[in-house]
Amino acid sequence: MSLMIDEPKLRLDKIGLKLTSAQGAVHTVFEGIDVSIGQGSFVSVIGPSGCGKTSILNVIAGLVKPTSGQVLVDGTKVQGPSPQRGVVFQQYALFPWLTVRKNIEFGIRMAGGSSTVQKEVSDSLLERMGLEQWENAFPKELSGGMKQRVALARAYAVAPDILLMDEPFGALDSETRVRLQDELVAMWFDRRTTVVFITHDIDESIFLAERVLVMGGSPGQIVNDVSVDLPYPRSSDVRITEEFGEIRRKLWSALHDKQ
Amino acid sequence: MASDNGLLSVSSIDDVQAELVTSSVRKEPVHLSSKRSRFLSRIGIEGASLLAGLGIWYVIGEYFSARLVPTPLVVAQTLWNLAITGSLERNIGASLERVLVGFLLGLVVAVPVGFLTGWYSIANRIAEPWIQFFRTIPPIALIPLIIVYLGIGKEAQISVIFFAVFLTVVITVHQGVRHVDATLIRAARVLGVEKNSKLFRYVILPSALPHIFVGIRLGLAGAWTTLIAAELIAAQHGLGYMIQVASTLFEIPVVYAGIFTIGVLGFTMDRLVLIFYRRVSRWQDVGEK
Repeated sequence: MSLMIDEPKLRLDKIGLKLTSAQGAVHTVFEGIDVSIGQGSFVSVIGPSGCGKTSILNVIAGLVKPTSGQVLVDGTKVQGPSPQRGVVFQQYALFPWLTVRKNIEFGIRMAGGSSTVQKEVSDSLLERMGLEQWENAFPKELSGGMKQRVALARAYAVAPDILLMDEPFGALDSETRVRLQDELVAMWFDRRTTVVFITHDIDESIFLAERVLVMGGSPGQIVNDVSVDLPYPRSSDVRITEEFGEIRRKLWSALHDKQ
Repeated sequence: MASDNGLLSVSSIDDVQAELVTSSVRKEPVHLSSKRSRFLSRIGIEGASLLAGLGIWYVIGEYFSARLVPTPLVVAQTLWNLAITGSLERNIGASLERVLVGFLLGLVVAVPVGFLTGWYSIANRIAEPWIQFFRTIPPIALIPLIIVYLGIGKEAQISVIFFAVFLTVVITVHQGVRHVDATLIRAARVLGVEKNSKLFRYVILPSALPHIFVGIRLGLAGAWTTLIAAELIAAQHGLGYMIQVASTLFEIPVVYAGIFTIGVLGFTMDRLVLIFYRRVSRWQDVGEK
């Protein structure tokens, strides 16, 4: 399924991250992470909490500088955050003083897009995410699922090359989570934005992705790289298929062997 | 949360829309009427409370000690007489001018300083010991010194007010900037906010606004307190001066009229700030889910 071309969309070139505490103690969060991710692919990263998943995401986003190695996007080294690499945070991170529509338009506005463009983009995303009735609501008025829809729409509004998602559905109830997973897969299938999706949920990682990277150990490393050869578009039923169960077993043992 | 789960578990978008419509129809009237009745009962109880207070004041003045406690009617009459001669307006004008000028100067200096110390830790480390030290000194304690330097004119009073307002506002703005959610800053960065000036304008400022308004209200209250103290100690105009002179002449109704006027002015200014704040922070008042 993945459309690998000569140069990967995203390359993590032996990146490592060491943090120094105020007392001078050095903690290695992860090291030697070496991965290539193809244009338009959907990759999940799964691992126990504390294995450095979120830190890797922050490094790809350019919010944190790696202490060794480099992140390359289309062969160019990442120097800092950019709207080309959108992020969806677990805590939604919506601007509470802006309405749903204004939150979605924020990125275009910062890029100097005209109000016509802003409205065009937000109109289509509001419709796509089923948020039309909520366009003038403030984030405080929304449920968790709705907030994450807005966050997703806001990230998509600037048409990023790569979408980085940090356990975005972790705080949602299972019903809402499944709905949003369906919507995300549909959205990705339409747009083919490269997605890196962090999660600690095995089923979620399989259902969404073409490829699952398993992290573990301390300092964190990639301990397994499993491809998911299930056809898209995927419906919720795929979870009860034999193949799905097979991959689930594989991931389960990969996660638990390495503890 | 229960209604949200119900909302999201329905099977199609049409169902979601239907659910949204019915839930808003269902909620609105209940919400409105309960709000209105709460408003009415509050006004009713507040009105009754004020009337009872005036009644007690009247009874004390009328039946116990009219010489020491003039009744509300006498105070109203006194206010009227002071207004006719123009002396009330002159004194209000003098006090208001000093409060507003001192307050605005304090605000204009404190907001950028608070932003700097809240954002840059080096600025914080330079300014913090000074702010923490001066914070413990009541501005009123500076009045004698300021009289020595600047005399008893309005420059002296404005300086004391400036000092009081600056210290109050700088701390709240500092706190406001410190409490900006780090995730929001990261979200802004990944959405293309590169320059700090843009970050200030579009993220830090709106985020810190509630804190800034707390600072404005506290600063305004502090400005009044400080001004009246300064006018009581040494001034040639103003409501504090009017009270001071009246008390030495044992014109108790004028003292009461002055105190009453200060209360009304302070209350009105606070309400104006509050109304303005409500307009710019509608997002805070919406119901939480």
